[in-house]
Amino acid sequence: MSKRNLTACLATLLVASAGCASGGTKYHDRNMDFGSLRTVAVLPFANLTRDAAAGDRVRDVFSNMLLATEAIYVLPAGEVSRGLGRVGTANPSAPNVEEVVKLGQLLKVEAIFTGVVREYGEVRSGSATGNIASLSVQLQETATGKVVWAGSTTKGGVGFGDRLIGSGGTPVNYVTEEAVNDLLNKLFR
Amino acid sequence: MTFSTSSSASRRMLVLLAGVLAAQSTGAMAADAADVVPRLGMVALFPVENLTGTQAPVRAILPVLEAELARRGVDVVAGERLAAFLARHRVRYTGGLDAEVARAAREELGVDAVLLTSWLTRQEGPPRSAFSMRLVSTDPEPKVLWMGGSALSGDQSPGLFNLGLEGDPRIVQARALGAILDDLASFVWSKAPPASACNVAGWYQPRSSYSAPIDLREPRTVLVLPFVNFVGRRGAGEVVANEFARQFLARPEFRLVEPGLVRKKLLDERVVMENGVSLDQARTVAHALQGELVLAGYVFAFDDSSGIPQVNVTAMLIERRTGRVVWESTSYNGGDDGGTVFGLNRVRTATDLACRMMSSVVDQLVRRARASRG
Repeated sequence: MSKRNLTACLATLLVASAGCASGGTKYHDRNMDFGSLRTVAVLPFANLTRDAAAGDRVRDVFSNMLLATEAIYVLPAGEVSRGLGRVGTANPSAPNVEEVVKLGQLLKVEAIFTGVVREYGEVRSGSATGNIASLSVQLQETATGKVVWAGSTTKGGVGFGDRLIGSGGTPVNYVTEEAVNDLLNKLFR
Repeated sequence: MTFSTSSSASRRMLVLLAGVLAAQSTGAMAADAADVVPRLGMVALFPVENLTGTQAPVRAILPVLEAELARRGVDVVAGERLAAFLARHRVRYTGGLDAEVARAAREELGVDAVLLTSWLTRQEGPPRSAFSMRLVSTDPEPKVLWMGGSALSGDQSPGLFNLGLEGDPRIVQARALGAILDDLASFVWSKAPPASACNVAGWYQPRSSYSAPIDLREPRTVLVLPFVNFVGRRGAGEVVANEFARQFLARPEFRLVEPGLVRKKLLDERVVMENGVSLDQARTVAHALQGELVLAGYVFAFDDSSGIPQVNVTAMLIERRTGRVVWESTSYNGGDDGGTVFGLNRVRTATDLACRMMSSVVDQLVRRARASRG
């Protein structure tokens, strides 16, 4: 195979696999002692997708996997809902600083997680389909309301294998799990 | 999909149901048991609760149930006498039993127990049918004596050249009912356990779980709250809660509080769990019913309308004493997760899948508790 043909093949492979998303960003407050966090609350995630239950689904996976790390205790969602009702938060997925402080006092938590689900579910690229989960999460300490950690990730999408075999991709639950795992790795690193 | 509930259709169904049940039932059971004393006397057969999420001929099935129970040697109070009792006490909810109704049933009907039936799945093409039954004592504090479930699909065992396929939903329904009634008869006439756990296999284990040290050396009293339902199918939360209740009853580490008592307490205390249970609500209900553990959760998928059933459930167990979550798990599975070869190992109904998943959750909970104790 000539050098030119080889380059063309590699370029084709690169373009074909470009749909398989990964990466993301993160921010860590250097002055924050993350070891001091014992109890946290995960607020309802804002849902920017067409799937009405995406926010609840992703929040549930995130809460459960965070609790499963056994590093932090996560309050049950019903208890968080009670707190939000008592504080009278206008937008439960994006509380202002005063509301964060009040929630901390009421729920006795040291920090709260808020999040946004940007993409969730099936995506198409030509005749190929796959599942994607794209979310960003931030952590605010309740003493000051300051953001001490933020991270985003995108997992899944239409990969090379999906184009080649047309399998329909990894199930969305597994993609969500992968995305949440990525975020937790960023949080605990 | 629609189901006819006209009287002619009901009559046809009755005849067919009775025929199939008669053909498959253990008819000799009552005769053989002539010199054996049953575990309990009269049983009130309450109307069937419809959790199918669609229309179901719940009235038409009652006479068949009554006849089949009688054939299995279970003395039943049903029909006009029971209808008058239910009307007198304004009993509309028949998926559970509270203390007041239990006392009235004992005094006025002279029954030792009440049989509660829930119709969980009713589907045509391919036909699928699932039921659960619960026998609850009419003691001053009603107790769950027995609980059983049965879920069948017409393509359960296709066999060679698909000769085993069953296309008639009424036959599948009758077989599902027959299986559960046989289980009940075994409990009444022999020393069968109060419930049997579903098959636990590796692929039905929770995808992620959290466990705090929990002492299960002595049986712990557990309350199962209705699960918050995030799916379109009506009754999915109740079906999942029902499956959990059955798995708890099947294990000696737990004492199950009758779900009807829990429901009554939630209504009395005006507890609305819109987005899940709060710690205050869990403590209030648990305190009132002397419960030590409260199980609650969320259903994100419960679907058997397509070919392969899907179930996605998150469950959490809250300890009353500490007010903390001592167990939380997220499970999601499809009916073909069990490594199917030619569809042999496939689970065909969401109810059956849920049963295996919930059984795996409770099994893992118990194993972790034992491990944490050393």
